[in-house]
Amino acid sequence: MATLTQPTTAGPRWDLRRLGSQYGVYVFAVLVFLATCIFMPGFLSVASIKSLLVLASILGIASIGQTLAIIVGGLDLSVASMIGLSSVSLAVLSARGWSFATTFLLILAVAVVVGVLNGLLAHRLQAPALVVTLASGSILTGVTMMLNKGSAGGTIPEWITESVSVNATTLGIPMPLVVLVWVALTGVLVLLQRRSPSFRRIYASGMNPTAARLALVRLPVVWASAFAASAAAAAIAGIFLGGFSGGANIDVGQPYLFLTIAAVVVGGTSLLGGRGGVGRTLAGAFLISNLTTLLLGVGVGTNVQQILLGTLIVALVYLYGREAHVRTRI
Amino acid sequence: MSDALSRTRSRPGETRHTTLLEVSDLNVSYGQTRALVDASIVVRRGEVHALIGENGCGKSTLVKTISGIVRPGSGTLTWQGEAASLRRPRDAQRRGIVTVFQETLVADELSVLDNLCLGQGGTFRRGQGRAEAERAATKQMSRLGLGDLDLSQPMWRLPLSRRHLVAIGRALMRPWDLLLLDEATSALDIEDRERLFTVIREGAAEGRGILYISHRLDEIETLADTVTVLRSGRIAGVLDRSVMSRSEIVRLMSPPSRAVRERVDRAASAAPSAGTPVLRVEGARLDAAGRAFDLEIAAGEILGLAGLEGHGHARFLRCLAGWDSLHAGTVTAIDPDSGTSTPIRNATNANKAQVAYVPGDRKREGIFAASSVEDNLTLPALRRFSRMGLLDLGRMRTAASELSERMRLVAASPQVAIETLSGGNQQKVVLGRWIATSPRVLLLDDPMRGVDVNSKADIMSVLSELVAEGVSLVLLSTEVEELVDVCHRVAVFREQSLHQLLPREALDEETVVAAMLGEGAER
Repeated sequence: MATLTQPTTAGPRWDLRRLGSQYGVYVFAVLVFLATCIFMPGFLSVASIKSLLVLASILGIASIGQTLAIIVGGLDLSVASMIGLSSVSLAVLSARGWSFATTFLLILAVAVVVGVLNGLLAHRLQAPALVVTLASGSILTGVTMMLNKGSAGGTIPEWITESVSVNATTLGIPMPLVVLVWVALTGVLVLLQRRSPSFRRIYASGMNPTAARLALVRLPVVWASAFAASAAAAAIAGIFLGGFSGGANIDVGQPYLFLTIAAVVVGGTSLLGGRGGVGRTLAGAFLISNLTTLLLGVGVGTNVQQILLGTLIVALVYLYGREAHVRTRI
Repeated sequence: MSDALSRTRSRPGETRHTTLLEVSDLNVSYGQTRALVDASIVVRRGEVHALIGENGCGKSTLVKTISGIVRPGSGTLTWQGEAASLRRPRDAQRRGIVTVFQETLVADELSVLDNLCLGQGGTFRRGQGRAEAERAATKQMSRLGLGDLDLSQPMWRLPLSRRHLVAIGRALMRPWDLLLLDEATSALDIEDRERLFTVIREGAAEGRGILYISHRLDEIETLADTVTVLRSGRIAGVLDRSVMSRSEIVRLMSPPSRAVRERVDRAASAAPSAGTPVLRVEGARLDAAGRAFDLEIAAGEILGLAGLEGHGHARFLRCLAGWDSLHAGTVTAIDPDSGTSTPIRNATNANKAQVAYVPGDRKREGIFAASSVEDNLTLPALRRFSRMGLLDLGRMRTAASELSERMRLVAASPQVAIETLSGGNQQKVVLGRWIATSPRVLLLDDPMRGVDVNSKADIMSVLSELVAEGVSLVLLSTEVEELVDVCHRVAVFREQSLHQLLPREALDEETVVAAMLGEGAER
């Protein structure tokens, strides 16, 4: 029997809307970059592009985790608090003479535990991840404040500060470490997205949890791993951000709650779960950082920036939502 | 009934039509599925008109169309002699058409009184006081035997049967000329049922109409003046009270007998009863009231499961799969090669014992719409394709192509999104996903529902290949014809018990339908 013939019902091959939602973020990113080059005199220099990349990379690293939480069908509102906890812990513990390795492992372990709990609770309680992570974020902020009380200021290891400085070179490559970490993490996850069974299960759970369960996907495990990844990514971002701020600062993570979600959504990962990926989020994080730079550069104040960013997200969500889905036939 | 609620809809001087509702040549389709085909029905004043048919014959669609919930593709609706277009439920209600649906639709958190007045919208606007609403409600509920019911308590405090009575009461609270009752008695006990019958008879005596949907032949015999039988979306016959009989109704419900030659073909296929058992059910009870039963499924056997919706056959299938648990009794999977038996406790352990469950609701439980056919096919078997934590994409691609071919899949390639395929081909993918796990027992929840003829034939050939290899099938189907065609035995469930276990010699449509309706000797 001849089997692999034309499908009985195929959508148009070149659907503009479809293409838009598929590649839109990459096109946008390039356009905004070009606009920055044109409208910001003096932007086109190695130093300013590098500083843009550093800015984008911290957001990008945190957004990698958010992407996974969103693909599995949730949302992680505790990233900002996790970033704060991680960066304050680093400053405080380093000031007490802890080695970086120990500090890092401890922070990572805490992040994973918090993430696992977030995932399990969000799944088991059938409570929206929104509420669970909002609550756990509040707890984390409280813990951070307690930590911060004793040793105001704190110290950040020199090499961390170096890793986010524009003029740094890493192992001979003329690029700060944070940018390389961002690209490497994204690269590894893009590979895993395709090649790892766990990622297939994350996508399946986000797209259709009922069907995934019936296909013997263990949803609690999948949710726990996605949220653990989210918390771990936030913790790593927090460490680099510590290098940026140079000391303990509990509010350091604040902007990242909105920005990580923005980066994921602008990238084109669906808030409904099951669709998207970290590659798009890389472009999304770059686009948003670049846009902020551009707006700053042409003298738009922070207030107006906020308004414009919000508008951009609503517009893009609308645009992506318009993708003509081939309906599932009865 | 003399209060405001019962005022007739006709104004003085207006002629009262004897025909309340006339539906002609109604066609309704859901996607490719035709739910109603040229359906016509006439309900007169003073008439209790019964509607009967198997699951999926279009009864509910007809009810929803008359209630203004489903818009027909074509056809006309005439209400008291005037063409009526019912675009939304309100249009039907305004004309005096009220419906009690099969599902108990109540707002759990609201009080009983609020539930009774729900949707009337005028309770406060019209200036009708709470006391007045309460009086009207008490009056309606006392007709249903619940005159002393505390109307201020929240709905969730009531047991299911009471809640359903409240749903009926809500319909009666409205001024009505036509009452549609969709399986209204399935949740009621005998006394409540009798009271409802009285209300129905009174309504008819006052010159209103009742469209009564039921699976119970005894009720239809007691109540109905006319019965319309639906089969596969078409009107199979209309029987007047004078010619109404159980056997005639069952005959009309059953599809026409198939050609003798096919019967012979079926009989010629290998008799499996001698095969070794692969699944054993002992002392099974689906609920506290059900009778315990034993059942054994042999290698290479096709066991059919039949029953009216909600009578336990679907749950029994899920119990075999480990997705649900029996009220009492055990399910054991037996490996015929080694003889080891595994009690089935959950789905994971069932899967290890090579018992696979193919869910029925394709869209909700089966497919990952935006994923490729390949990803959809390979999900439960991913472990087989991974080496050191990474998937061997080449091997997956080969396996997916082979499986697509085996499933006779019509798709441009295994890389296209499954949502671009027709329903029948999506079903092949969902089935193929489990065939890929090499099951010994395949539990199928209505795999041919909403599947086109060609895909049906493809799925049938795939299944018969499996059976030839010694795989056992437990096939739940809402289409009796399908069960009679392919099954070696059919277990008919009624009221959460195994009602009859029909051997192949006794299999024909009429026997199965009769057993589903509770006719025929109990097992």
